[in-house]
Amino acid sequence: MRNHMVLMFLYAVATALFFALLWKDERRARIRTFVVIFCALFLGGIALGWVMYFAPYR
Amino acid sequence: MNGRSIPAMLLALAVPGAGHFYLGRRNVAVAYFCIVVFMFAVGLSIDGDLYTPSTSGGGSLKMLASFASMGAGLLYVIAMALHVSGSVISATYEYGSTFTLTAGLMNLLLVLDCWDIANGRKDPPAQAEPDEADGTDA
Repeated sequence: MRNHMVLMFLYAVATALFFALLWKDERRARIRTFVVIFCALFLGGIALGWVMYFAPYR
Repeated sequence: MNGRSIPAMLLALAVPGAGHFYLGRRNVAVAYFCIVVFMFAVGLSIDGDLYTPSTSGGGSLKMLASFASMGAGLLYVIAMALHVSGSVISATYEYGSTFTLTAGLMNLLLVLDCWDIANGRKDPPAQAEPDEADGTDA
């Protein structure tokens, strides 16, 4: 549980599930919202990490 | 204002998902309970912090963090009673605090959602009834 990637994955799954249930009422819309939020949080976080690699903050 | 809105909001504030359960949305209520408790438990298990107004020192950001933490309701009270607190020197302190803060903020959103549901502002999608589809009155 100390792995940052695992924690980021768990956070993305729980948050995406929560907002998919909160914002949408239909099954298809919920699945779509879940996928969008999960990708934004998990894959977006990884992408942002790679972009920040080039930032001169060392 | 609907007579069920205040009890629903109080229940939702005390126990995640209890307000939705009270309002008849039992499936999502169980899901909300599991999600919020999971987030809170994971946060505490990896040394996340529980902010309190007394330790905030009057700082605005820490006061907001205290408000977010206390949003978890009884989970927050139980954790405080058990003296569960994170360690700032832990590698996952920030992650854990983010989990506990998010759990509290989620529960506050559920409280507001209960208000909307109780006052009819968030009805499920209308199902077409046979009489309406036929264009005839029952």
